[in-house]
Amino acid sequence: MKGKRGEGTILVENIIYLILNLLFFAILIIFLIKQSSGAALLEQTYSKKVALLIDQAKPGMIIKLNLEKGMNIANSNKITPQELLVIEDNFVKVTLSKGGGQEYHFFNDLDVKVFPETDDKGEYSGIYTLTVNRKALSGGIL
Amino acid sequence: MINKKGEKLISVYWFLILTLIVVGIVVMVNTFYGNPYDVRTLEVEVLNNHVSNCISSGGRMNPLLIWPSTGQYQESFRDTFVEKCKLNLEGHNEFDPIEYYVEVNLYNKFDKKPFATLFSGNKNWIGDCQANNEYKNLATCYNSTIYSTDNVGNLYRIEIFSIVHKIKENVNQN
Repeated sequence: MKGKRGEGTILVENIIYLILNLLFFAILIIFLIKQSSGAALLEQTYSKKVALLIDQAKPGMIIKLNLEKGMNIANSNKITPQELLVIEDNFVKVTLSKGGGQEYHFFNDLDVKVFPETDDKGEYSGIYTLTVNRKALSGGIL
Repeated sequence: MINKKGEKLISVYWFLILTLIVVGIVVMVNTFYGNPYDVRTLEVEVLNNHVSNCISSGGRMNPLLIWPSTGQYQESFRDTFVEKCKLNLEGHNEFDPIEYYVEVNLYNKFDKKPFATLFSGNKNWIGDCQANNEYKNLATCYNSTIYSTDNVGNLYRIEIFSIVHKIKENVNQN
């Protein structure tokens, strides 16, 4: 890194070269992080996870889910906490963006209700409570 | 490589190599995240467990299936199998194909012929299980055998066969 005259100077070109390299890798890392936490990916993950949870649930169970990460994305896309997770007709529907949404069927014929929880300030925390009960007017042993 | 021109030349090549690496990573990441998660292996096992818990809970046959005092098979259970086992295999509407199939064969001790068969769902997927398992575009199948007793002391062998199709949600169609 010595100049022509033998002085200990760091060349400007080298600094630019170093900065460009760092910039390049920073953009790459941001891209990777963004890809792994995108709305479409989370919608799919949440809907399938919740459907599988319900499939294994028994009547009387109370399930707590942390969908905080999804709620942050939903908030920025103006999706209400009630719209984020909907369970009806044996389908779990997760919506994190307008025009988006992913649904997944579950076979366990139970009555599942969703309640988004609020924190001390009255704001939605991203925690959801699912109550699992038997469906009315049906007889069974499970 | 020591002179200025040489250094610039290396820089240009260095950024060309970086660009190639980045393009490669972007393509790989997009391919990876573009494919849906295939949860059918897990789902079919859960379905199988659900049905086996319904037929025999805690090692005892369901009293609605095998009458506890006499050990007699209840024919009526076959017709209400789906309701009794709390299964909902239907899609959004009646025109959507059912994405599941469940079959339960009940055997007396070590008999080769089942004395009763219960089933529900779409029989069209059975063929997928007989084909080579390497193809992802086929339904996922799961077999299990459990043993159970009734109150009289009869021993039963129960074979449960479950299928989950759901290709649209779990496999990339492109």
